[in-house]
Amino acid sequence: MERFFQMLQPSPGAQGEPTLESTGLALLLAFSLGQLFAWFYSRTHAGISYSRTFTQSLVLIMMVVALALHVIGNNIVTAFGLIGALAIIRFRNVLKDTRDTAFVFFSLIIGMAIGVGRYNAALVGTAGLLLAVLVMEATRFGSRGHFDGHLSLQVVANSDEKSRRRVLDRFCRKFREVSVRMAGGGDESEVILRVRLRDRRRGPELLEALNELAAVRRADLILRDELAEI
Amino acid sequence: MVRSQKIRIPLSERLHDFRRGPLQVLIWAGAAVTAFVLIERKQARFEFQGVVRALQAEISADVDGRIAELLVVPFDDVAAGETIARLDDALLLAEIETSLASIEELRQQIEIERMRVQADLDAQNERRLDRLRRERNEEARDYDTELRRYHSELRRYRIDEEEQRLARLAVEVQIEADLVERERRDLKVQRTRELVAAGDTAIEKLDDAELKRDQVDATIKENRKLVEALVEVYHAAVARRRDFEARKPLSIRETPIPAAPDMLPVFASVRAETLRVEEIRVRRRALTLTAPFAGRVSSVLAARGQALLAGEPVAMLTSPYADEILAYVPEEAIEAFRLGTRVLVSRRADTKLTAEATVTRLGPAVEELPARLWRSAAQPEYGRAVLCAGVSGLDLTPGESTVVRLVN
Repeated sequence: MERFFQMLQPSPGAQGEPTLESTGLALLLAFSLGQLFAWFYSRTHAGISYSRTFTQSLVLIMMVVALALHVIGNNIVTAFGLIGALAIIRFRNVLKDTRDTAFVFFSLIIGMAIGVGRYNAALVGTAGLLLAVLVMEATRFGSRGHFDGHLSLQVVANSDEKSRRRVLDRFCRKFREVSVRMAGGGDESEVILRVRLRDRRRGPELLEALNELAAVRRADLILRDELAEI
Repeated sequence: MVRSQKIRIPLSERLHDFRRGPLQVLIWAGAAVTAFVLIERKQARFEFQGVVRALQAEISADVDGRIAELLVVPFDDVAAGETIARLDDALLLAEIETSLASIEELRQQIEIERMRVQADLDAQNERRLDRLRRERNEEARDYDTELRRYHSELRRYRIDEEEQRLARLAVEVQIEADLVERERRDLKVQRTRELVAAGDTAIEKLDDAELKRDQVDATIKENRKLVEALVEVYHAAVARRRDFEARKPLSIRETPIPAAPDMLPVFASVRAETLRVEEIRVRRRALTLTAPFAGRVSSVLAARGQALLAGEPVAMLTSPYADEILAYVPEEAIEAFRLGTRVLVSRRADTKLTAEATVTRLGPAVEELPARLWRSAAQPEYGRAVLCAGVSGLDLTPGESTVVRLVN
């Protein structure tokens, strides 16, 4: 344990000038801790305003700020320059998305790094941040509630659900009823389920199988656009 | 009939699931482990700041004076004993002249006294002969006459002794004057040689300068031989006096012979001149500032013609060879350093090349690091100084900053 805390002490003899190694370390650590932080945020978020890009921007902003401090160091002039640049950008552009803010900040910091001659930090920072963006995009980081779409069924009221469930079990990995509504003057029910298909391409087969059931009058499947922000 | 067999999840979906689940965890774990390893590697190095220490000396004059010659410029290489600067010798030459004049004065006084003693002895002899003729008794002795005679003889021996001492002093003072002249000639030869090498003067001038210098050299050698001979003569004079004292007549053996009171000031002046010659010798040596070791002139702090007080620096000399590192160890890592601890040293400009060194000295206290070694210009740092020696193979430049690491 003591060794762990010793490791966390500032390295004796470390120079103020950032090196490739120190910049890389800062970005890696920021990425790791940011991702942990974002996971906790994603898992504990309650409400309807969840945003995947916001979750990703938590990681990006952590990395960008780590890079910014590497560039600024103890130079108060550079720090004030950064504040001024941020203020100008903020008042000239209304940034609706947090991820946009992260990217704007990122551009600012890289430009500042180049301007003060910290080319190491600029190069490593650019590579690290872009890699982080690619990785998060490739892994769909921040998305939750994996489901493929909504299945809307018009069924005979009070009909047996077993056969319906068998069909759903066959085609879906999971499904959940999200609403039930009486329709057709009380003879029918409209059931809406959130489904996650085992094979998205076989959605029509699912509908066909459901329509074959006597209790099912009508079945509609609305697949979710992957790009939709939910 | 409803088929219950679940349809197969295609590979693309599985990959999709993998990307959205375990892959994120894997990537996160990889980043965390890499960061952990980098941190540990950074800490495990126990890197410390160090500065290459080289032998440095401040060349300064031991006496007040004015710089007559400044023979180096910054970054000149000098050999051990090479002349760096010369102070003006006019005052010393004046002192030498004064000393010579004083010695001559003392010689005259002693000569006068010698003549007086001789006259006194002659008068005593005459009176003795008269008495003997009157009393026709060769064995009659007058006690008082005997005593006065002995006294006068002894004074003559003492005078003889002091005369020899003065003669030696005079030659020694002359040698000092010649040495001053010789140093001037040496500089002239050196300057002429440089002019000849540059083609600005004929080689005959160099020959002429060397000839004059050699003449002074020869005079000095002759005078030194003369001093040796005079020392022999002086010792002989002392021996004669002691021998005479040993042959004191029986009739006056018990009678104490007082020192001649009128001669005491002269004898004291001779002693004073002896000491003054020594002083001249010391001052002459102090006129020439030489390099205590072979090195490079790192800075010149005075100019030709400048008046200096004793101790004021004229130049700084640095040895080009450096094999010692002065490292500063933070308080939290002090325990790891003991005498004999092995460390790895590398130049900050090239940390890949390392050399081993050993801790030879530990500073007594935690002190402030030189500002150039601070990580942040606005934040002073403190550490204990540790001297590491025995570094070889790194081509260190004195004053260069280095990285010192403990050998695991």
